Amino acid sequence: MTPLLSVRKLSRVFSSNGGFLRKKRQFRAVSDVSFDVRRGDVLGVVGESGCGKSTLARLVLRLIEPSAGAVMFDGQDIASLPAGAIRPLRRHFQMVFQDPYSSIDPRLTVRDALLEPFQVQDIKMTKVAAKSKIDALLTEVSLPLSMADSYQHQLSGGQKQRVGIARALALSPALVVLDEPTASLDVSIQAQVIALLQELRDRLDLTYMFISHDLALVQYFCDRILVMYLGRIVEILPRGELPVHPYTKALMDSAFVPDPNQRRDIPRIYGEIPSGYDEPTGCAFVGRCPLAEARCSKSLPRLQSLSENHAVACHVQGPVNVPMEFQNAL
Amino acid sequence: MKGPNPRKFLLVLTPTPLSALSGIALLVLILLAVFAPWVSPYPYDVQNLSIANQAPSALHWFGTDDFGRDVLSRVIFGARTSLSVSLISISLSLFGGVIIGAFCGYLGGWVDRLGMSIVDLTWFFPEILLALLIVAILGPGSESTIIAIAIAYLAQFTRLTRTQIITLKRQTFVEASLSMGAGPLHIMMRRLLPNAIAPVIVVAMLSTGNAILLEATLGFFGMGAQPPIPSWGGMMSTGSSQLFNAPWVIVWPGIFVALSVIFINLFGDGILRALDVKARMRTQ
Amino acid sequence: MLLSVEDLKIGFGLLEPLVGVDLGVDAGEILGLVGESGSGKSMTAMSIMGMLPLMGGRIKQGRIVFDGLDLTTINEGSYRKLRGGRIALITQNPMTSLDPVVRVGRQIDQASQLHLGLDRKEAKSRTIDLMDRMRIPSPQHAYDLFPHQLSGGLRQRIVIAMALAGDPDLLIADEPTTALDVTVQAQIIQLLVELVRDRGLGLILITHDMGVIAQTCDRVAVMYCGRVVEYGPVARLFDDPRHPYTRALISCIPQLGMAPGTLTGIPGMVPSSQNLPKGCRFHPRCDSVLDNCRLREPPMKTEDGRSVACFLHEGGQR
Ligand SMILES: Nc1ncnc2c1ncn2[C@@H]1O[C@H](COP(=O)(O)OP(=O)(O)OP(=O)(O)O)[C@@H](O)[C@H]1O
Ligand SMILES: Nc1ncnc2c1ncn2[C@@H]1O[C@H](COP(=O)(O)OP(=O)(O)OP(=O)(O)O)[C@@H](O)[C@H]1O
Ligand code: SF4
Ligand SMILES: [Mg+2]
Ligand SMILES: [Mg+2]
Repeated sequence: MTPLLSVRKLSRVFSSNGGFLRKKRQFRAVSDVSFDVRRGDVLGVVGESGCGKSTLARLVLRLIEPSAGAVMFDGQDIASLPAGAIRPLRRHFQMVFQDPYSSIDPRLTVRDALLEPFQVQDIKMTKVAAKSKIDALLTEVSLPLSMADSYQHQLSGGQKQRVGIARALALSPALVVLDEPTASLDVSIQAQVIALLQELRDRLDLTYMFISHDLALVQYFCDRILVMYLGRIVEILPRGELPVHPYTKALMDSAFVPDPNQRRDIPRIYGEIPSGYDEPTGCAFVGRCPLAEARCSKSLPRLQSLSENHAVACHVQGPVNVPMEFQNAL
Repeated sequence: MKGPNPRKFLLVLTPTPLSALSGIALLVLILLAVFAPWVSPYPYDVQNLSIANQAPSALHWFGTDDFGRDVLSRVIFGARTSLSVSLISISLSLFGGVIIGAFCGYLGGWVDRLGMSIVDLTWFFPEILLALLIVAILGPGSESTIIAIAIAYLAQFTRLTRTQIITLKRQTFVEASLSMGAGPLHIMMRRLLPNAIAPVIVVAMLSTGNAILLEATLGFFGMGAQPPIPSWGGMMSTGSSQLFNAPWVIVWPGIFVALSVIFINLFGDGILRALDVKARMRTQ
Repeated sequence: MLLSVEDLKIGFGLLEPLVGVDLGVDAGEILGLVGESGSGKSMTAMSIMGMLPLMGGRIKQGRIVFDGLDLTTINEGSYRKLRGGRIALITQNPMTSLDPVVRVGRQIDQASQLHLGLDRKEAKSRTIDLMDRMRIPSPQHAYDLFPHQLSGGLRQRIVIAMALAGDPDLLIADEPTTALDVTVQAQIIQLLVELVRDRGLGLILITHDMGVIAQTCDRVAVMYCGRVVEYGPVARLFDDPRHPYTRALISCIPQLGMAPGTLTGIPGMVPSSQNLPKGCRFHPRCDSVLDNCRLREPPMKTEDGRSVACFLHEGGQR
């Protein structure tokens, strides 16, 4: 079966306005990213702040224009369609935003916010149909029906995010991109929202692209994980498999295991994250990498497959030096 | 979509006792202006030289001017001119400013640069100078005053709307609309303008006070409504020659100009504060 | 005990954001303070720092004993000497504690000049030394930078250096890493832990990250709706959580290698401070409510070093 979403060599360069006496500078937020998402899968995207996760999400949904590359959604390249042609297609791919506090127009009631997708897509409904649709959506995300008349500021963070999810589901999309949907929520509320997302996915056959900076959460929730560093994919790994790339390992090691009986010293990664303006010729991680060799700063490591679902972009840890257990998979 | 909740609207209108009182005073003034022919004791234009320059009395509460016309009646009719000229001109200015500002803010790029540089031409001149200049070109009269005031305040509304739109454009809920497939019309009319408009309207209210002053100034220079139509500025202008033997002719319209400006400011201030409270309630 | 807070209750007008806060921290020890947003973690920090009056609140009941001195009885002048000196606070957002127009090095100097009476030259060399110990790269150069020229992680390290400049005995870190990336967070936490171990200061680490607590703290106080509901040594609290809220909270943490479908969350919501439920504040969301829970607030009961406020454990019995 063809993958639902297939991204090829996608890049986005932001150029700062060169002003008087100022050189025009180019910032590579996303560089040369390729990956597939199969129908029904959950693809996780992790990486540190500013590594281009949200930019990637916006590119995939064509909320911003790519500088290069293709985004095949269900066999159609939405990166090259004219803007007008894309609007009716949008009902098939929706987004849940990072900040539940600002993702709903403060002037709208929950009902109006949930009706907006239908207005926008010119789907006419009778009053009765609209009401039953709203009720169904609210039930879907376990909100009381009475909440339809509330304004955004009367809801808690978790409730707002539920409204955001309900709104994304309103048009029965195939793909939902979730941009850190729980980052601003408490753990107990985060767990509720994650459980809800999981249940919805099973019931409605959804495909998710789930962005987060919490590796444990992504490991828990996603089938495959895409690790980004400075706009590039450094590793794509299936759930449950051990990371191979030094950066992914560092991320993993920086996580605080919530078990006081498994204490360990956290290995430090030294060095600052380089800026995306002056892109290094070699591997972007070279300045902080414990395994770096001479060749690392000379040429860019390509993303290479270790096994069917596992790929890594690293000179030292790449397929040539694959540990024994992966060699069979090649 | 529903309009604003009526209870909230009341809350906005009565934020503090002072601003509520100012609101009532303004309402009285507007009613006086509207019903001028019925409430004023005399016609505004009947001359009677035998009673020229009489001090305030039981018959003529505010006194009479040098043509023997009743000052109270002329002040009431003058309110018509002053209020209507300033309201119409500010409305025009608001309308134009919001449209230009919204376009510039939304589209950005060269449209923005072009639009803003044209509007900014008017920003360089003090309002009064600009208004005098325009009236000088168009010739005196109420219509030119309206146009002059409208242009004088255009830049202010354009800039404010533009900044509002630019900030709102970056909000997540606008991106959310886009992601559902909304077109520019929906974004502008449903998401941006309704959220941008409240502070612009409050500023428009406050500017009405300044417009009254500006109208009075133009009238004082003889550039406003032409005699015998009374305007507060015009009355003060004619009264200035009689400053010492009939001060009431200039004082009364002056007091009304001052009072209406103060009331408008107090009222607008209260509304600003109420909006602020609401904004805080939201961001909580 | 370096610091002990006993049955603290504070009031803001009619609201009582904190009721029954009991906790303590020793020199060379880390006390973790966890709980959901709005549970009163920062408020506890503010009470210890004596900053309630500035915010319009007051202490209604209880004692805060620091090194033998009851802080609820001293005046603002004596407090000012302690604040930034023997007791220092690191806040969540480094930008709010840094002056944007003063060079960061000078800002650190000021604390040691004020509290240790150093002159400008001594202060500077101390600052450079502190910055070096915070592993700020090329401190000589960083000394002359302005806050906006530094990354979030570096800024937070400057704030820590500033807190240490007055040579404190007690450090309160209010979510020092929430705004930072995971790898940077790990570095900062590691740094704080080293400080405690090397210099023997007491640290109250406020966070809502149970992982950070598990990895670093000696003791933990779990807060819910303005109360400490459970307090005890970290290992025992994680292995055998007594309060149903603690248990639920631990089950909400995503862990590496967790089986799918195990993360369910606590049903319901945190009640608002204006509308607290009668009886035990957790009872509407609790999975093992007793009749008593709906009627009365459970008192805090202590047994062999563990305290819990729950009717299931009255008298420390299961
Ligand atoms: N419109 C824009 N113009 C210029 N630069 C931009 C723009 N949008 C994003 N960037 C830059 O691109 C980089 C990637 O941003 P992005 O928002 O994708 O990061 P992120 O991985 O989502 O981070 P976070 O975890 O903080 O949300 C950032 O350094 C950001 O400053
Ligand atoms: N100035 C104030 N006046 C009255 N109540 C306040 C004030 N500031 C905070 N509160 C209330 O005190 C309670 C505790 O707030 P606090 O800031 O201590 O929570 P927190 O645990 O630090 O949460 P977070 O994790 O979000 O920082 C909250 O219910 C809050 O609404
Ligand atoms: S390519 Fe070299 S520098 Fe980059 S991650 Fe691999 S080992 Fe480290
Ligand atoms: Mg992002
Ligand atoms: Mg706090």
